[in-house]
Amino acid sequence: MPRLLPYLLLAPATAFLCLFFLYPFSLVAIDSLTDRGAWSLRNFERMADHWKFGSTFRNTILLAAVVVPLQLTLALMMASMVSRLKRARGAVLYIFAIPLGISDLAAGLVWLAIFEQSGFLNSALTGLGLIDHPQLFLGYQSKGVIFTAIVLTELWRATAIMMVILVAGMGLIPKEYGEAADVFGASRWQKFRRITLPLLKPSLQTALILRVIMAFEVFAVVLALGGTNLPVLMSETYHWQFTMQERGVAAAYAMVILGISVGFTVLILRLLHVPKEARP
Amino acid sequence: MSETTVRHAGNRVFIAAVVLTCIWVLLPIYLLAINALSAPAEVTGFPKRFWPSFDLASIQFFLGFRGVTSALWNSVQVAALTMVMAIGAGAPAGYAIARFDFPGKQVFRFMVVMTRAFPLPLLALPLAVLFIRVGLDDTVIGLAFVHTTLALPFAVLITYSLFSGIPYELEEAALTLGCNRVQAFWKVVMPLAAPGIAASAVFAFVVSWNEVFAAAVLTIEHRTLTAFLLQSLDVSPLPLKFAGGAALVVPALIFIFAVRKYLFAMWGIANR
Amino acid sequence: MAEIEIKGVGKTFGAFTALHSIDLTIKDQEFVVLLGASGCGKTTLLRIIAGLDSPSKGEVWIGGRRVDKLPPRERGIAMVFQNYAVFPHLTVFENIAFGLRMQKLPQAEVTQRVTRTAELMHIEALLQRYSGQLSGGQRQRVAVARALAMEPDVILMDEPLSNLDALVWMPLGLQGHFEPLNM
Ligand SMILES: Nc1ncnc2c1ncn2[C@@H]1O[C@H](COP(=O)(O)OP(=O)(O)O)[C@@H](O)[C@H]1O
Ligand SMILES: [Mg+2]
Repeated sequence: MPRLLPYLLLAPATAFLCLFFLYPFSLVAIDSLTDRGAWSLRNFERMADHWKFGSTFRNTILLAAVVVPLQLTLALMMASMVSRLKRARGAVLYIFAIPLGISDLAAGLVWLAIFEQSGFLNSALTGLGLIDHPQLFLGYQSKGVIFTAIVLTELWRATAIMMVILVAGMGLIPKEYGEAADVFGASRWQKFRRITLPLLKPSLQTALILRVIMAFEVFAVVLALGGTNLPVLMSETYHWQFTMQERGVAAAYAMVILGISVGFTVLILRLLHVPKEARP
Repeated sequence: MSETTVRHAGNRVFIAAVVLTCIWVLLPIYLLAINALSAPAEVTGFPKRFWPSFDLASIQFFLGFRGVTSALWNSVQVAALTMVMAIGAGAPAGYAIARFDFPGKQVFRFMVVMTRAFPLPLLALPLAVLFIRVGLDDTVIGLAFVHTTLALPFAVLITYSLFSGIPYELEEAALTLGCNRVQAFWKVVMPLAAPGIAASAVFAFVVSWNEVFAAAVLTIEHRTLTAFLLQSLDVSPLPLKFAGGAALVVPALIFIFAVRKYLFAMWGIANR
Repeated sequence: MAEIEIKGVGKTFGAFTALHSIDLTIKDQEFVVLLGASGCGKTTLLRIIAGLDSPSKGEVWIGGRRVDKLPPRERGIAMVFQNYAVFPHLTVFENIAFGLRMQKLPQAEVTQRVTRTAELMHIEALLQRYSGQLSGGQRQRVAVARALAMEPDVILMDEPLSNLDALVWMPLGLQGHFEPLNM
């Protein structure tokens, strides 16, 4: 093997990552830590002192805290269903995977059709005689409903990616393990708990990391369903950058998102660590 | 109850659960389709019917709206460029880390994983400034560069898993049968990896097609469809929003259908 | 014409020494079997002769040419791999023809050589199948046919008797002597 070949092969990707990832990333970091050319934490202070910051931060974390565990459960259920199916497996997989290709914006619009005032939920409820006239679900007074709508949309949209990773991971677990457990008389639940879940750790890791990072970047769904009624970190970043034209504060927000993303990534890696010797 | 009836009941519950989950996924899309295929008056009207009237006025209204067709075209261009660049840069890198051991390999892998752990759309902010300086602002190629960075980690990881799945021995056999390295790659590795590479290319296309934040930040005149819809979310009438939503969803359905066979294979090893 | 000379060949993987110093001469027409416990370095030596690995020290000569810096394709060898390495995307026919096509032989010649070696290995009925449709033993025979069709100066076979199907060797009338590989 020519010594230089691997580096030659890596060169284009490395160039891309340096130019469009490392370089702008360092600029964001510097932007957030300087004020009129001097090092300072003023951007972070201004961000944190703004009255909206507290609720923005809380909303983002709360959304992730509600959505991700629900999603993990649902994804595990869907993946187990798929692995138990004998007929129509391909079709069910395709249907389950559809939201994978649907952007958060499109998903927001899909669920807007359901929740808006003249939407399908109101139509169904009045049609069934449960309410007399259509309700305003997504108004600024009903933050709880907006929150629920966002959770449902996220659950609908982003479970697919976890499911796909988990199905693939389950496919890699040799059948013999489950059969061995059968021989020892394990029930379906015991098999899932004692064999599938532990062996699925690497996939769970990937799925959770991807998903948690995506959860902190939630943006278009919130905008489509809640407008500005439920600010999240990403929408505030956008707001400071464009409406307020304050690059430094926007960069500070970016660093906060990075901070919690990296923090949770490390946490997940820790919690779901599989020692090298224990890998199949 | 005998054991078989218990098992039958269990099966029925299982089938019901599968069907319900399918409905959960499909129903919202069906409802969006109703809106897209109904007249604008019906879309804003109340109460809604639960089947479409197959009136194409909403779609026509959407396509006739100022800026929509060019936004669609921009989206296609950016996504196609992203697809080409992400695979062009990602596949060789995936091949290198699958096949060779060399100093610096771990650093590279770490950088790839880091990009996945970083909210990439944020990079659009400083890139916007950089692009203005070098004249890439508000261009299709400029946005495609950023989207490529978004799609690149996926492209690298997916192609890495693909190439790892093809025994190196096959390439070596080709070498002993008279091939040089390049020939061995094209005659043996490529035919085996092609479907998976196509799938990851389509995945890159989807990443770009769906990306909102960077698109909104980096384009003004040359808006992509997502950026256009985001910008006009507050001001545009409902029929336009829903037709736009449908325009975003339909390609997704086709994409996922096209790559369904490889989705699982490519994710399986990617997380090793 | 194709004498193999191995002069002081050693191979290290990092800190691990797989081959210390091998000296071995295999005369033209000779049939030599390397015997040794698993992990003793048989595959490593074969790969060095084939040019798939380079020796850490020493020289390899084939037919009077020093080859240890040459790529496999310029060494006049063919190899049967331990796991056969039958190309899954090609039919048995195309597998056997692979090396001949690399040599840009005319189609008639390719067909003739493929048919002949396939008959020799008793796989003429399988020519249109893919690797996935073969048994382990059949796959091994395809791998051998693929090497024989090249009519190389040297044929290297890794664990050729690993599959009992290889009793098909008998008609080849190959005879030889055994040379224990002392590490
Ligand atoms: N790429 C490698 N890296 C490190 N050690 C290796 C590598 N390839 C082979 N070895 C080691 O070299 C020794 C010889 O291996 P091999 O030639 O495959 O043995 P065998 O005689 O069974 O074919 C073994 O101990 C093996 O573990
Ligand atoms: Mg061996």
